[in-house]
Amino acid sequence: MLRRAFVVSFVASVIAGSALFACSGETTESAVANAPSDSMVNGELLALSWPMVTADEAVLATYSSQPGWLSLVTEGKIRDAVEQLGPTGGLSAARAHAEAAAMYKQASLLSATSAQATYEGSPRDTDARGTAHLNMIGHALNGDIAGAKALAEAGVDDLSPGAQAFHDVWKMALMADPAGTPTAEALTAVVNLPPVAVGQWPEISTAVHYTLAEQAEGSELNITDPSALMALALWHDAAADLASPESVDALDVFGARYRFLSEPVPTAEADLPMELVFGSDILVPADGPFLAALTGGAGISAVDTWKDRSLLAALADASRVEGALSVDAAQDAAAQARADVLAGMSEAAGGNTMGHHRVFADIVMVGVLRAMALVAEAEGNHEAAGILLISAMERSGSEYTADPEALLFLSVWDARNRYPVRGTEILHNLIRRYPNLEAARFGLDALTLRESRARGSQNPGL
Amino acid sequence: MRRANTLLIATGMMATILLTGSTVSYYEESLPSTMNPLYARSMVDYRSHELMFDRLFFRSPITNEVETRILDSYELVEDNRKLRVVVKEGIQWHDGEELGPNDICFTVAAMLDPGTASPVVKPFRESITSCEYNSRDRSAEITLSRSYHNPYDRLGFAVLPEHLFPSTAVSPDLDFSHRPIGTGPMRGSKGTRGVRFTAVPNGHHNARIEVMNLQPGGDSFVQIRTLMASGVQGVITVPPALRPEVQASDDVALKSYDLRSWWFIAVNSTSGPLQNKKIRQAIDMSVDRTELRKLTIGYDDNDPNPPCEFISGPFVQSSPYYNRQVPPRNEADMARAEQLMVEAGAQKIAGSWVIDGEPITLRIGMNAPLDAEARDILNQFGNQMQGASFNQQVTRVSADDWATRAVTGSLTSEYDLLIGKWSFGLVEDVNSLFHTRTTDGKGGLNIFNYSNPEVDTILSRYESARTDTEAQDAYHDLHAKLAEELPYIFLWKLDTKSAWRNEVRGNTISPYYYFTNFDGWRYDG
Repeated sequence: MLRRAFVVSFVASVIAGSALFACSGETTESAVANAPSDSMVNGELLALSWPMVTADEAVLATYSSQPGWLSLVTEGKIRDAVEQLGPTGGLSAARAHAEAAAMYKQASLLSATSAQATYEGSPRDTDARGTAHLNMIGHALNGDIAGAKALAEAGVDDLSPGAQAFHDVWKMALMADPAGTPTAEALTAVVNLPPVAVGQWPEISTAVHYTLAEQAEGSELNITDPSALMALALWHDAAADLASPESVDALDVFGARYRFLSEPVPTAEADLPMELVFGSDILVPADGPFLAALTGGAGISAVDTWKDRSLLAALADASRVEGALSVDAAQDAAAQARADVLAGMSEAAGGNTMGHHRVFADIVMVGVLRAMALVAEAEGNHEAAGILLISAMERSGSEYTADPEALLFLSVWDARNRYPVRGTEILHNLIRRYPNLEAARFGLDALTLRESRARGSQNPGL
Repeated sequence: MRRANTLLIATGMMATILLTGSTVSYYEESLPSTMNPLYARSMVDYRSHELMFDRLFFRSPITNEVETRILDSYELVEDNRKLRVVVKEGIQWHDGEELGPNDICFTVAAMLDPGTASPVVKPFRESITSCEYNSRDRSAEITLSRSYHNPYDRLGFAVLPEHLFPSTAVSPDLDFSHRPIGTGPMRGSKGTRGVRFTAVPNGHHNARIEVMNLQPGGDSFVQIRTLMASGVQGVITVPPALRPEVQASDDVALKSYDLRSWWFIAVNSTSGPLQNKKIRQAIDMSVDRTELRKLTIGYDDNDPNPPCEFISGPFVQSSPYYNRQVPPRNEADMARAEQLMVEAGAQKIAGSWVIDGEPITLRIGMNAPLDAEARDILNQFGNQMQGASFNQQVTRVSADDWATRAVTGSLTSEYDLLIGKWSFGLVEDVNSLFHTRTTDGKGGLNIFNYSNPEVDTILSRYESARTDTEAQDAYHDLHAKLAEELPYIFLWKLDTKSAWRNEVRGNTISPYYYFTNFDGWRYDG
C-alpha cells in the first residue's frame, strides 16, 4: 500500500522549486521552501535534507523507479533491497549491504553484550567455565581490546571442540600485534560463509553451535556464538565495499553509528553522497560525518564543530538549555523538523500533501530523536539518551521507521543496563523478517533468565 | 449514524465534564479492586498504587538502576543477610504524620503476619524473616532469608503507615482499602465512578500535575474518540484495531508499556465433563484462534511488530521459557475434535454433544474489562463452542469478582471455562497459577484448583533449579505438559499500548508499574 502510495504520489506530484542536488553528492542551489523563522529548525540546512531534495520529481525518480529502493525505504526490507539492487547496483547496492552490516553488527553486539552482562556481570558458581570465551567477545566488540586480550591470555578452560574452533580464531586475533578482532576471512572459515558477492544474502546456521558443561552435574549450556553474526556483518561490509570501491570511506562514515566499538573511528569529513542519505536517519550529507565525529573521538564537541553544516548538529545545538541537551527541547525539535519537512514538501508539490510526504516526515522525526539520543549519551546524560531512544522506538511502528539496526541499538543499550524485556520482544519480531537473527537469541535469553531468576518470584497481575 | 451521533454527544459531554484546570483525566481498564497495596491483584491496582505509595526500592524505568526515594542510605551487612536502611527525614504521610523506620518494619510485620491473607505477600515472606528499627537514628534492619544476588529487587514493597492499622494482621476490608494514606506523589480517593488522585507536595515528591482522574473505561471506541476530542488526556490500553488511528494523529502519541500479557481460557478440570482430558482437548481443537483474533482484535498481516501472537503455553513467544517445539494451534480441527469426543464416550444427539445421558453445557465466563481489548470475545468464543455442538451459557464476571473470587478458586462450582489474561514483568513465575493449592500459599492463583502431581513435580524442579538452564528446561517441560493436559486453553499474547495527548509531557511509562516516575509528568494544556 505504501509502496503504491509512494509511486502514485511521485507520479502525480507537481514540483515547484529549482534543482537540488543530484546523486553522489553533487550539490546545487536549493530554493525549496524555507522553514518558518521562529522554528528550531535551520531552514537553509533543512532545504538540503533528502526529503526536500527529493521533492524534485527528477531526483525522486532516480530512486522510486528502482524496486530495491522502495523495498529499503518504504518497506524496510533490507534483504529484498540487497537482492533487487543486485550485483550492478553500485553505490545503491552498497547502501543496502551497509544497512545489512549495521543490522548484524548490532545483533552480534546484542548477543555478546548480553552474554557478558550475564556471565561476567552477574556470575554464578555453577556457570560454565567456558563462558569466559563469551565475556572475551563482549569486551572486544564493546571496544575493550585490552580486556579481551587479558582474558585470552589467561586462557579459557573446558571448551568443547566446537567452542575451541571459535575461540582459536579470536585468540589469534587478540594475541596478534597489534591486538584486534578477527578478520572477515578468519571468521568466514569457522562460520562457513560463501565468497563475498554483491546482491547475495548468505545464511548462517542458527542451530546450537556448541555446548558448554556447566558446573552442576548434567547441566549443559547450548550456545550460538556471537561470532556468526559478526561474520555476517563483516561479509556485508565487504560486499558494500565491493559494490562501490570508490566509496569505502563514505561507507565507513555511513555505518559509524552502528559500528563495533573495536572498529576504527571514520575520520572522513566529506559530505555523504545521496545514495547514503536518502531514506535514512542521516538527513543532510554533512550529518554523516557529524554523527561519526559525535560517536567517535570528537564526542560532544562535534555539535559546535558541525552545527553550521549538519542539520542534526544544528538541531542538537538548538535543543540546548543552559548548555546541555534538554529532552523536551529535543523532542520539540524532532516534532518541528517533521512539521517543517511536511510543510516544505507540500509546498513544493503545489500545496498537496502526498502519501510519501508523511512517510518521509516520519522518518525525519525518528531520525532526529535517535541522533539526539547519541548527543545526550555523548554529553554523559545516560537517562536522557534512554528517554529519547525509547521515544524514537515508540514512533517506529511502521515498516519505514522500524530500522532493524536502530531497534537493535536500543536493545544493546538496554542490555548494558541489564534490562532485557524490550530487547527480547524487538528481537523476536525482527527474527520473522531476518531469520539469521535467531543466532542473537542465545545471549539475550541468558540475560533474561539470569535477571528474572535473581529477582525472585512475583505474582502476575490480572 | 445513530450510534455515531450518540458517540459524538457522549464525547462532547465528557470533554465538558472531565476537563478542569490542570486536571488530567485518563481511562483505565476498570476501577482498582483495592487501594491497599497488600491486596493488589490487577494491573489497575498496581498502577494506581504507584501514584499513592512509595516502594522501598524500585528500578529506574529508563536505566534500570536500583533506586529509592525514601531512604537516605542503605547497606548490606552480615554477609549480605541483613539490609540496614536509614529513612529520610521530612517525609510526611498524606495525613501529615512523619514517615519513620517503624513504618518499614510495620509493613514487613504485616506481610509476615499469617493474619494477612494475601497472595501478594508470598514472595516477600519467602525473602524476609524480620525487621527491627531504631527511632533515634531513623534506621531499620531487615533480615533476609539468605544472601541474595539482587536483594533490593526482593524489597520492592509499598510502605504502609503503622499509625493507621490496629494490628499487623491486615485484612482486605479495612477502611484503609477505600481511603488509603501513602507517601506517594498523589493522594487517592476512590468513588463509585472513578478515582481522584490529588497531588501532595512532599520532601521527596513534587508532582507537577495537580489532579489525576481515573475513569473506568467502557467502549474502547468511545475512549479513543474522547481522547481525540481532548475529553481525556490518556487511555491506558488502546486495542490494536484503534492504534492506526492514534498513530496517524498529530496530537496524540502511542506509548509502549512493557508488559508480557497472555490470554487464556481456564478449564475446569475438577468437576463435570471437563474432567475428561479428551473433552478438554476436543474443546481446544474446536477453537479457531485465527478467526477469533480476526473478529475480536483485528489483525494486520503486514504489521512488522504484530501486537497479537498465538501461544501454545503459559509464556509469550519471545520469552526464553517458551517451548518452541510445541506449535500453537491456529485453526480448528473439527474432525479431530469429533473423534476425541467420541473416544470420550460422547454422542451427538440433535446437534449437541451428550455424555452419560446429559447434554454438555459449557458455562463460560470472562473477566469483563477484557471486552475493551478484544471486542465481543465472550460471545464469539461462545459461538465457536455452539458451532462445535456444545451448548453454552456466557456471563461477564465483574472486575471485582474476578479479583476476589475467580483467581482465588471460588468460582469452581459456577463455571466450566473462564476467559482471562495474566500480565508479567521481567519475572515470569507461573507456579502460583498451576501448582496444587496448599495451606502454605502455593497455587494461590490457581483458578479452578487444578491439581496434577506431575505438574507439581515440574514446578518444584523450577523452584530448586541450580542453573538457569535447569530452570529453563523445567518450564519448557511444563509448557509441553500443560499443552497436553489443558488446564488452560492458551490463546495469544497481546501487547499493551497506551495513548496520551501530546500536552502531557515527560510521561515516561515504567515497565509493569507504569507511574513510577510520575514526578516527571506534566501537563502543558
